[in-house]
Amino acid sequence: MTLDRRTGWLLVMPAAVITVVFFVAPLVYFLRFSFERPSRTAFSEPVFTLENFARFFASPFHVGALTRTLLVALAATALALLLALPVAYLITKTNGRVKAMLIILTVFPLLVGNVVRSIGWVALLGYSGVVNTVLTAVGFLDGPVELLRTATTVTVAITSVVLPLMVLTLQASLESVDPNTERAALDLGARPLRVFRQIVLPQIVPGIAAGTSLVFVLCINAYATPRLVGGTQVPMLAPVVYDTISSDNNWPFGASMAALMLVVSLAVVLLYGRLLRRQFEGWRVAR
Amino acid sequence: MAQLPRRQFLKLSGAAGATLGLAACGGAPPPNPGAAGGGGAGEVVVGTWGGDYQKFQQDFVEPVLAGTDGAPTVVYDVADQVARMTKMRTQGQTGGPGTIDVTALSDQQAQEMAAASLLGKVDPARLSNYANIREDFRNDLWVPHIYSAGVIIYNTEHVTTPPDSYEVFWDPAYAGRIGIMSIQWATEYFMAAALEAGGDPGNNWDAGWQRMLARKGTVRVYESQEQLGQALMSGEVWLAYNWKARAYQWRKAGAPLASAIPREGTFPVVFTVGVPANAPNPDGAYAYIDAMLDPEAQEQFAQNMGYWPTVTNVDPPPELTAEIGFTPEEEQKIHQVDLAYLAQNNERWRQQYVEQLINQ
Amino acid sequence: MTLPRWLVVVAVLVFGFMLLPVALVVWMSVFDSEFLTFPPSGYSLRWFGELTRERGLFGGLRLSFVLALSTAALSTALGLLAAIGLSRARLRWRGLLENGFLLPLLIPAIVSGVAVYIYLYQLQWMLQVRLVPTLGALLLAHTMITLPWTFRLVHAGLAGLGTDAERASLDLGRGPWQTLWRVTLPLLRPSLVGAFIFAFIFSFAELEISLFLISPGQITLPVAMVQYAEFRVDPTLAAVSTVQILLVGTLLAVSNRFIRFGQVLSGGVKG
Repeated sequence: MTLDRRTGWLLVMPAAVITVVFFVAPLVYFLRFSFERPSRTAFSEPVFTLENFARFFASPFHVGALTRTLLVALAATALALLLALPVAYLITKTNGRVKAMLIILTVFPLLVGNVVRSIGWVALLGYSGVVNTVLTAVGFLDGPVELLRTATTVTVAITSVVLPLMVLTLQASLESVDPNTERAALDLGARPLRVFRQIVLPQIVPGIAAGTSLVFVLCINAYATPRLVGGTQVPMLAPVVYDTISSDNNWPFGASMAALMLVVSLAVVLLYGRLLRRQFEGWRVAR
Repeated sequence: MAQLPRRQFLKLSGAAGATLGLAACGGAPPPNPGAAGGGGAGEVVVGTWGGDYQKFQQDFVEPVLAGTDGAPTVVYDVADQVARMTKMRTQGQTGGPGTIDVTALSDQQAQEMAAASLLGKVDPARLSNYANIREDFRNDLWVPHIYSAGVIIYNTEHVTTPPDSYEVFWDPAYAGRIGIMSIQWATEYFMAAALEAGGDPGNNWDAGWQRMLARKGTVRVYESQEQLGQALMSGEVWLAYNWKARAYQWRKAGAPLASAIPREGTFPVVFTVGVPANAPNPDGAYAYIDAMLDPEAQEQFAQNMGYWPTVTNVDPPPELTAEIGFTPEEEQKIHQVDLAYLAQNNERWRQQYVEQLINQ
Repeated sequence: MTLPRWLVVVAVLVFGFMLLPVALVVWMSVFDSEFLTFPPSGYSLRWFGELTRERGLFGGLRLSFVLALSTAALSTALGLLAAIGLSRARLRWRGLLENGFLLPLLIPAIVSGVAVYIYLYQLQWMLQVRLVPTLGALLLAHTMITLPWTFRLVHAGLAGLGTDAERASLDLGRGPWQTLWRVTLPLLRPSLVGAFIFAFIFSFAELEISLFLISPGQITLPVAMVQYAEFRVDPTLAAVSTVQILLVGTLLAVSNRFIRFGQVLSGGVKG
């Protein structure tokens, strides 16, 4: 069923207006700071300059933060995908009450606020936290070990934050896979793992692509988790941007970094979008 | 092709437009440029930290205010100081009346706001309690509320002799048992410079940079007061430099801690209130600030929060003085800092600190 | 189809990993001492009792709840409209719009919060209409931040639906709007329910933008919690979190009666 253009625009308008007024316009307004000079008294000095970007790329600390952020985001997304697949698949194969309960349980972790969650991480991995206490008591460790404030811990922490989202998006995608295709393959003698790999997986590639690109972007923009679990010893971009704006009162430099983050995120999403469309069209035609 | 009938088209667009329009309006009248008292004459908006600070404001300051004639109603604008400062900057840059009457800031932040011409001059005539404010805390652009000073906090179970110098932070015996907060980079510079100078470092806090580098690897870095408190509590670290008020709070929570002011001296942290230059209700603002300076309110704040009064007409019990206050000898060792000097160097210090000290 | 045992085991382990923070938070909320020590010195419910004295936290809980519900409703509705418009009408710049709706996710919320406030304040000055801080602006900003999810979910749902059912309905004589209402929408229920839940959660947990847009006298729960932690570090926050989790969990369990997540979220073609 197709609607005419006018109707289409009308339907899209409210959401579009909100996004433009409450996001696009403010963002453009803010990003112009990145082309201006820092000021002690106002947000910026309205002089056109590229020095903020030059400063960013000339600073090993900041470029290191960018690299670290990308790597951590990549690792966290990959890990989340790996862990989410079995869970999403399990949920798909259940029904009724059990399914509802599993979905509710998946939603729960999203309800724990960042402040409290970070307290939880310290409680778990801190110097006198659960892991250290247990491992020392058991004799595995001689004494408590510094587990927090490493890039690995930050990666694991970010993974745990995005995992429920990955599960839910994968599950939505898996639900639309026709179980008859699986059944047919099984009837023909294929083992379950092969069925998954060759029948189910190709059908959910668009869903995986969509889910992972969004999750990746979320990981890049993570603020509270890297700040509280990694601290200043694991510098990642969002906390660095915030510190630049708040502690240094340097809005132009902060805005320039935000602009770079936007460019990277945009590139990822567009790339995936293109991949997705091509794949999806191809699959639908084949169907 | 489905066509949307014209009538329905118009109805829908009307509904959509009306919804958005209604949603965008807040109900309050539009701000009139140049009109005074935009927030309603009987209302004072207090920008505050929230949490305990706001609780004590509501419990101790409001009753005092309510007892005066024509007392305004109080509404609190809660946010962290960064958000509140940003709001003030935005309002200052845009022009017209702002939305905040009283803003609570630390002295360093008040200095920043004043430098950006966002605070109005304090009019002593409108504060009946002005004469009671301590001389050394009086200021043109803000009113001090409560204060504390930095002290060496130590775990009495592990550090048996009370430290009397910042040297203890460089003592190899305590390597790995010293906690610092990444947000207090300025105090690091201060301590090292004070050691170099053997006392008040004046306006040369860079003097101790080499000493600071020597500390690399022997300190544990924390992101917040809460994490540091946790570490002191659990015995992960035994020494830290922090406000005496924090030591008091952590001791109340059961940690075996004590505090000492070193012979090199220390500097205060003052929590202040100011009236933004574009405050909609300055009369209400002054009435509220006057209530904050009331001796009863000041004493209650001291009892409950651990910060010392900035007015002279309070007589706290001696036990409280020992816990959170300062004896005259100790007061001698508390040096005021040049906030303008701090503001000038803060960004450079932070960058240097984070890039070269914390991240090896 | 019976599931291989190892799959169930792995899934359970991952579930455990996901729920670890929740379990920790609930456990911490009944610790007796103010500071965390392992093993805990004792257990007590006193933090829940003291919660009643925390006006800020309770006020925050109430506003966050109402706001989240409103945001979820508005966001799902607008996301639905936009998804229908984009997938059923051949608009120019379709690609731009589809990706455009994702924009709010591409920037850390701390930047969006600041940017929205500055922009709206200046806009309000130009238009001479009060825009910030207002409840309306807060609601719309929350809607903005949740639209990427609701739009995406419904859009994906529509794409997966295909047009066969709609075509059949049209062929049988129903008008396009009737078809939309009677055929497409019911088929979209899984996506709509999912979108609503996502929007609710993201609005409830939103901190950075709310920090700037709450009016004096109002506060949302995340803001109240962060400001509480400025001064105190005791299990009160864990207690509030536990209450919040129980509240929303109960809500989900109750709404399961009516919506039957188990069936609804098993959308798509089932043999």
